[in-house]
Amino acid sequence: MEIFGQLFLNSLQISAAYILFSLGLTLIFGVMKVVNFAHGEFFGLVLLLIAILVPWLNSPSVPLVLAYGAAGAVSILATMACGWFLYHFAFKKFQRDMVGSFVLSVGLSLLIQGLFLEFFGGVPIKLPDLIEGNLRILGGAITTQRLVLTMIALLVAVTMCWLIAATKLGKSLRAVSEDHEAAMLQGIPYRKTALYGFLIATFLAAIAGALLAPVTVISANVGSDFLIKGFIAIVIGGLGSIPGSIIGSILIAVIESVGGYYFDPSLATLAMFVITMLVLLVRPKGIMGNG
Amino acid sequence: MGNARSSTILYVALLSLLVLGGSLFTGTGFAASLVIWVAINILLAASFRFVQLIGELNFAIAGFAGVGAYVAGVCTTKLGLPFVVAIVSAALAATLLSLIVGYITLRTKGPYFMLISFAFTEVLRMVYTQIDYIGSNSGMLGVFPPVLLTDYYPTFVVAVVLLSLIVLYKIEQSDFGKVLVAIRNNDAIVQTVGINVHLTKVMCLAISSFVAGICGALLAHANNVISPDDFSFLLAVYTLAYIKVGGESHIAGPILGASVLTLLAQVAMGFGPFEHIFYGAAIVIAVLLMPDGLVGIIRKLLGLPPKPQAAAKH
Amino acid sequence: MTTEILLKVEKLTRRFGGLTAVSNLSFDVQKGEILGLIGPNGAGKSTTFNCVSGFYPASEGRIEFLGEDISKMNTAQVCHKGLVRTFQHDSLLTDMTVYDNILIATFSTISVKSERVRRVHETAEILNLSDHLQEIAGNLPHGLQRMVSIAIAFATRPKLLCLDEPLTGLNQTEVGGALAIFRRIRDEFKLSILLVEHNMKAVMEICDRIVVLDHGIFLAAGSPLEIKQNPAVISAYLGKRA
Repeated sequence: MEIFGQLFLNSLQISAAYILFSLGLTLIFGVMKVVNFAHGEFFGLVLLLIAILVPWLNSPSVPLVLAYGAAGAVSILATMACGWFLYHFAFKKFQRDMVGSFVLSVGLSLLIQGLFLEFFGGVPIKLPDLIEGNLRILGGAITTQRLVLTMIALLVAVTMCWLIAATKLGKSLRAVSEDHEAAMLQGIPYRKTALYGFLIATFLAAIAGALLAPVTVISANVGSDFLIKGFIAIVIGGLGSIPGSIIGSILIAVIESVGGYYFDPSLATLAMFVITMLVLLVRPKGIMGNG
Repeated sequence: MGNARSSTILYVALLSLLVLGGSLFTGTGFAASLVIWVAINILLAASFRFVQLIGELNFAIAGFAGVGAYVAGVCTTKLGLPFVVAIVSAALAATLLSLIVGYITLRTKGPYFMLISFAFTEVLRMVYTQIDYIGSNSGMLGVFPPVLLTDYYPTFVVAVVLLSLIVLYKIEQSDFGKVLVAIRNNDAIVQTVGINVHLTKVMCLAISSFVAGICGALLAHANNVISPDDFSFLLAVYTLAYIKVGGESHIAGPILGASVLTLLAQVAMGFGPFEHIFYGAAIVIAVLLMPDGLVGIIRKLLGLPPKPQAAAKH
Repeated sequence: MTTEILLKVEKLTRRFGGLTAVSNLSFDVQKGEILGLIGPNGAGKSTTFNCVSGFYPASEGRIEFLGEDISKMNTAQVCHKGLVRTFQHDSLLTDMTVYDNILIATFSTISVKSERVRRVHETAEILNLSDHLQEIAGNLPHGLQRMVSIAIAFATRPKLLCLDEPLTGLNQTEVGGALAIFRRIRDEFKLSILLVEHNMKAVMEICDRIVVLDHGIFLAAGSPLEIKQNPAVISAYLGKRA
C-alpha cells in the first residue's frame, strides 16, 4: 500500500508541472492554431534566470525566500516580455499556419537553446532548498517543499481553468478556439484574443519554471525534456482541448512515475512514445480532439 | 514544354559533369569529407522534401536513415557482405519499415503526423541504445568502404546522390508526382475520383525512405562510426533547415540550401552550442524573410514569376 | 419501357451524436434521369449526399448501386463502381492548372497516357473550359471554377454524377449554360444526375423528378409539376420563411 501512496505523490507532483505546461501549449494551439515548439524555452529561461539571480541575491541581508521571490518575479516578467516580443515579431505572422509556425518555432527553439548554452555554460546547477523538511502522506514520502510547490501549481492550474470557463476573456478564447471566423463575426477581437492567449500560455510556462526552480537540476536544455512530454500530453489529449491537456498530463505523469519506479526512466519515455502512437492510431485527433 | 525540358536536362548533365569532375580531385582528406557531407545532406534534404509533396513534414527521415546506417554497418562489419549489397539492403530495410510505419501513421495528418514521426525517430534512437549487437550506446565501429573505393569514395557518393536526385526529380515531374501534389492541395477530391489516397501517401513515404536508407548507408561508411545520436531528431531539424534556406518549391532548393549551410557552418567553425545557434538562426531567418528560400531569390533575380506555395489543407 | 434503377436508398438514417440529420429516407434514381434533391435549409440534403457517395457511412439503412450494396464503401471505391460527386466548398485543386485538375480524375479509369489526354480535352470541351486549360484553377472567376469542379467529376465518366449545389453563385446566363451542359451530358454520354440545389427555378426546369426532404425526413417525390403543387412542400418552404 505504501508503494501506491508514493506513486500517487510522485504522479501528483509531476502532473502539476506538466499540466501548467501543456495548458499553455494547448491554449496556443487552440487559439492561434500554432504548434509552438519553442514553448519550452520560456520555462527554461525562467529557470536559468532564477539560477543566476538567486545565488547573486542571496546573502546574509537577503534571506533565501526573498531572493527566490525577487528572482522569480523578475524572471517571470522578463519571460513575459520575451513572449510578447516573440508573438509580435514571429508568431503573429504565422497564425493558422501550422506547418510554417511549427518550423519557425523549431528554429527558434534551436537558436534559443544555443544561446542559453553559450551564456549559461554546460554545467547544471542545483539551487538550495527553499523549505526544509519531509512529510509522510498516504504512506509515501515527500519533501515539504515539493508538496507546497505542487499545491501552488495545482492552484494556478485550477485558477486558469476557472478563468477560461467563467470570464469574458476565457469565453473569447474558447470561441476563437472552436471557430475563429464565427467568433470574429460575433465581434470578438481576434488579434487581441490571440495575444492574450499567447501571453497567458507564456505565463503558465514561466510560473511552472519558477515553481520548479527549487527542486530541479537546471541546465541549458531543461526546457526540451518538458516540451517533449508536454507535447505528448496534448497530442494524446487532443490539440486545443483544455480537459484533454489535463488528461494527457496526468497520463504522462503516471507513466513517468510508475515507469521510473519499476523500470528505467528512459524506458518510461519509450513507453510514452509508443502509447502516443497507439492513441493516435485509434483516435487520430487525440482523446478529446474534435474529430 | 519540350524546350524547357531539354534545357533542364542539359543543365543537369553539365552540373553532373562539373561536380563529378571536381570530386575526382579531392581524394581523401578534409575537402573530400566536406564534399561527402554536402552531397549526403543534399540527398537527405531532397528526400525530406519529397514527402512535402503530400504536405507532410517527415521527421522520421532521421529514423529511416539510421536504420539504413545500421543495416549497412551490420552487413559490412558483422556479415562481411559486399559493399553494394550493404547499400541495397540498407535502402530496402528502410523502405520495408516505412511501409509498415507509414501504413499506420499516415492516417494522421499535419501536427499529429509531425509529432508521431518525431516520436518514431526518438523511439528508434532509444531502441538502438538498448541493442548490444550493434554496440548500443557506444555505437558501431570499423564501417569502411571497400579498399578499391577508398580514394574515390567522394566520387562514388556524389554519383549516387546525383543519380538519386535525378530519379526523385523524374518522379516528381511524372503523373504520380502530380497526384502527390493534388493530395496536398485537396485530398478529399483525389479520393473522390477513385484514387486510394492512403496507399499513395504510403508509397510516397516509401520512396523517401528508400533514399533516406541510402543516405544512412553512405554516411555510415563515410564516418566509419555509427552512433545512436547521429540519427536523432536534430538531424531531421538540420535537414529542414537546408530546405527552408534553399526553398521548397523546386528540387534545386535542397541542393542550394544544403550546400550553402554545410559550407557556411564549416567556415564559421561549428562547435558545441554555436552549431545550434547557427542552424536555428538559419531556419528563423529563412522562414521570416525568405519564404521561398534561395530558389525564390533566384526566381526574382531572373524575373520569373513566384511559385504559389499554399499550405496543405489540414 | 422498363426503367432501370441505378441508385436505391433504403431507410437511410444518419446521426451525429444526439442529432438525427436524416431519418428513414428511401428514394431511388433511375437510369437516364436527372433527379433533384431539395428541401429547406437543414433538411438533410448534404448529409444524404455524403452518405450516398461514401464520404461517411450511414448510421442505419442500405444504399444499393446497380444492385450492389455500397453502404460500407468509401468515396474511392464508390467511384470505381460508377458514382462520383462534386463538392460545394473546396471543390477543386486551386494550385494546379485546369488541365491537371481534370487529368487527376482520369487516373483511376484510364491507364494509357494518350487516352487520358484525349479524355481531358473532350471533358474540357463539353464544360467550355478548352480556352482555360493552362490557367491555375484558383485564379479563375467563380463561374468557371464551378465548371472545373464538375469537369473533375465528369472526367471519370461515371454512371451517376452527384452534383452538390453546382449552381451556387452563378448568374442567370451561367445557370442557363450549366443546365444545357447537364442535358448534353445526360443525352450524349448516357449519364444520370443526382442534383442537390437551392435554385428552385433551375431545379424545376432541368429535373425529371424531384425528391423533397424536410427536417431529415422524406416529404414528397414526383415530377416538377406535382411538387410545385404539393401542399406539404409549399408549407414546408413557407413555414421556413415565416
